[in-house]
Amino acid sequence: MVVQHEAPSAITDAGTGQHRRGSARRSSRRPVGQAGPALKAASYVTVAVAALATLGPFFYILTTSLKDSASLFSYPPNWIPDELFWGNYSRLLTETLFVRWTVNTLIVATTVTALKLLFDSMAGYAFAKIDFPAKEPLFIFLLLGLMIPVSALLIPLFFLVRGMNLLNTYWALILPPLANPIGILLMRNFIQSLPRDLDNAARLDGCSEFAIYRRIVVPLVRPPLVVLGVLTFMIQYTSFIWPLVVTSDNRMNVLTTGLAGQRGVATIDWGAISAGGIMAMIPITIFFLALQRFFTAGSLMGALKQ
Amino acid sequence: MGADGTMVDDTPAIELVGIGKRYGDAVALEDVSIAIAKREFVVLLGPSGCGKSTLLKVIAGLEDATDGEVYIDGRLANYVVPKERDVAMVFQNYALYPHMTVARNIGFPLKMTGHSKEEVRQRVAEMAQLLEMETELEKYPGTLSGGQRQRVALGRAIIRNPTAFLMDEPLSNLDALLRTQMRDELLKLHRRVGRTTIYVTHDQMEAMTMADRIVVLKSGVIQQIGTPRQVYREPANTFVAMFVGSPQMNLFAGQVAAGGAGPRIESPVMTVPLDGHGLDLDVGRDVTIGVRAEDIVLTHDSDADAVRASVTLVEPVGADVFINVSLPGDVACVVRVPATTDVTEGQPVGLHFSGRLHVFGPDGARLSTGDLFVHPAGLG
Amino acid sequence: MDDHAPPAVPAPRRLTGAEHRRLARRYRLRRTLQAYAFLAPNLFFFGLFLVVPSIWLLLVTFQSGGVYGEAQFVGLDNWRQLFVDPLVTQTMRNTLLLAAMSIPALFVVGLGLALLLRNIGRGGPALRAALYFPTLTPLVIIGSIWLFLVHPDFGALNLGIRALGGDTVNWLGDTAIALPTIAMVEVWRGMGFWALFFLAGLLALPEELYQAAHLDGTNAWQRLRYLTLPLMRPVFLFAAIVAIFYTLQVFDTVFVMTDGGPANSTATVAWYVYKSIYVYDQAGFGASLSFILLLMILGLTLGALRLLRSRMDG
Repeated sequence: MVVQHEAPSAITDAGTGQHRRGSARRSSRRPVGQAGPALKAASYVTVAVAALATLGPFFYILTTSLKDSASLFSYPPNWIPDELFWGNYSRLLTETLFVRWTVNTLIVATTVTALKLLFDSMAGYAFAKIDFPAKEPLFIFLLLGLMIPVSALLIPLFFLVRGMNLLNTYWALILPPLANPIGILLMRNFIQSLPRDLDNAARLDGCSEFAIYRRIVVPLVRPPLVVLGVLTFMIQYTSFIWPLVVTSDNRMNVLTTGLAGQRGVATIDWGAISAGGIMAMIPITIFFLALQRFFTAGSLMGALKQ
Repeated sequence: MGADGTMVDDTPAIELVGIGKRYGDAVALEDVSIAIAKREFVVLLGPSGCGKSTLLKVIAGLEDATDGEVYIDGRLANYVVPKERDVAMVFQNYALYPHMTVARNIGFPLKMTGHSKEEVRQRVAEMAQLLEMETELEKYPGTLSGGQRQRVALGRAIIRNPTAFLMDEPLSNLDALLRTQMRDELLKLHRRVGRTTIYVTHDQMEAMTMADRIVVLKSGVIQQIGTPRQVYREPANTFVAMFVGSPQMNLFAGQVAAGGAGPRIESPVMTVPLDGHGLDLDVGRDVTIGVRAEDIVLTHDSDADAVRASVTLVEPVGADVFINVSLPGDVACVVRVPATTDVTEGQPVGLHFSGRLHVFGPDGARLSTGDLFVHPAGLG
Repeated sequence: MDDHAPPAVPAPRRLTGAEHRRLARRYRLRRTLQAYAFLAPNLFFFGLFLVVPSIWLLLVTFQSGGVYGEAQFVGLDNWRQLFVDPLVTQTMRNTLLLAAMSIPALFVVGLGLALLLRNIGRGGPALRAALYFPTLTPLVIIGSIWLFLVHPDFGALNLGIRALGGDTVNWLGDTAIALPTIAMVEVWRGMGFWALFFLAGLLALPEELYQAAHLDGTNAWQRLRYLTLPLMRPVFLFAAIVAIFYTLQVFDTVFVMTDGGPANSTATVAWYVYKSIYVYDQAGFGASLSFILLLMILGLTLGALRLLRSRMDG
């Protein structure tokens, strides 16, 4: 999926050079203002402090997750535990459905991502490359959907899903997120940037519209597909309020709702929550690091502008 | 053709009947009609924005005609999807698939029309040989030179043996030297493959050298259809006269006047008697006289019969020299003479308009062409 | 060459206008059906899970109950309730305050980090990934982490303050401080995302302008004030819309960290909508409240658009 063909300049010729692997990184090194050494040093220090501020809390719960409940509240606190205590992790794995929640999360996030990529690239192709009546009004209508936040539709969506008898099923978690039209906009803009002659050439070479989509367009929009995929996966992985509304069966919980449910009102099991947090971060971190080079906020913005 | 009595299929390869194309209120093509024979090489010539590329797209089915009918090999094609029209197109910027190798690019049309893998492989190999691209088959288009990409684009078009090739300025992205070379190769290929070709260009040199027939377009309207020789020697109107030929044809404003020896055209520059030329023009009518630069003879200014002029600019163009001169009444004119001619800027010279002359009416349409005798203004 | 004597003048049209119209209609219909086949999955889900619920939302506002028992038609009761219930104004106030605190802070911190990141060459990717990390983290986990960090007795923040000899803060227990604490968490989470977003905008600015400004002898502050900020306005506009859209829906952090408390001082509109379903069985009321949320988002977005547009013209 992440393999890019060894034809970089050809892709440039096709007008998609800005999506090429590594180009984002290269351009971000371009010094816009010529910073002096003092300014440069100050920049490093400040950004490093900010990075410590973002990573510090993660380190804090990592150490917390490795302490037993006795040493948890010792004063003065020992920031690095003398002895690693794995009890929080084993308790999480044996006494909760943590593994099941993880599997649920991965099933839901992967399915939603795969279906979104398929549906949105298809819709993007139609909007970018086929002329049909009511195209513009339909596109604007879909974009208006972007203005409606999910939290505002929580109640009717809940009734709808309950009416379809889907509460506590994977369907309830997978289907409603497919309504989000943001990916159509993203894919349409990218596919529109492919030269018209390319699909026209394919049209004359004997391709049906579906063959053009599958054999010409999809291979050429792989980088934006990865961006959309990472974005969708992340949103699904971190989503909370919708799974909270449609699941009440503990076996159907996803990671977020499952871990939130561990938070008892009277006693809070800090060790287990910290261990859960750390373990929940592992899949998404691996996923992000593997695809990071495709995904910068810039590539996203580039697609959404216009 | 057909002289030996065999049946000859004279169905035109492409026939256009009253093609019109509008984008909202803007007219891109108007009442375009032409029949193109099998094996014919037709060039659509015109300035950018004249509708020639649009016409090509209408034939290919990439744009719907607003009006008229397209026939391909005798079959109505207006409502046939592009992939079933059996035409192949070479695009201006080649439109090679950047994610496919040269071999896969060339073989793609065969693959999409359901040929077996083995057959595709074999015909790609043959095509590579024809194009002298055998060593480049596994490369991606991005690593090829302009000329090589051009060849791949040609190969992808030829491999399917379509009814017609449509070429949209295929040489315009190449540098001058390569362009001439590819032009010759393209012609040789055409002679060999012998397929109907419709070729779009704004370069009149390409049109003159390659075409069996040239179609000159302006603002979506056909100005003239004819062989290169006809278009050059008998331009249908002032637009064609100006657009075809280098340097441009000289045009002089004139008016029909009555004279002692019969009607004649008078202009500040010259006088043209009209007797015996079948030109029946009303006295007082405005006309335009056209003279090609090579139809003017340069003489000494002492020549009493010559039109007097002075040289303003000397432009050597290899074997010839274009001499810009200024005539009485501040009229400019270009004369083409051999490079051996010895003239300098500022020198007074005489001109003889002894060759072919073209007379155009006030609407620009051609009235006549022929060997008209010319006097200097005020004489005769 | 002379083989190609011009063929005879082409024949006139062979089909009547009516035949053309019929064939053209069929031809275009086929293309239209193809296009809609590509759109079908999206249109289906968009219609079912966005258009239908949007209409349903309006109907639900005229009902009461419905989650545990039968729904009943109650006319405009829910809408009347909106004006009577003091928690409605309080959640609206809290939501707007949260946005007013966190969005400007996110913009200032994000833009500041972006300007600094621009000076950084080596190690930049690692630092950017570090800043971005919280964005990957589910808010539930972030809420738990911060719940721990701001614990009044043994949380890292108070331990630090105590070590420096200051007075400890009751981060989530004090009605005046709880909401700013939530805002702080939101800023902590979002600053990396916005820093990278603004950095992308900065890098897209035309370099020639900066070189010209350099030659004109401007200083760094002048370039920021008169060049960078005006040029970045479209980026700010887009960012403002996204940030408003997101911040006004804040729910996860509140739900995990305070559940609206203390004394409803952190209750947001989205939180109240959620509560109205399960806890209060007041779906109809929640639906009316959803309309308020929708109007707040639309109003603020349009306001931001108008503000930044007019400045752009001026």
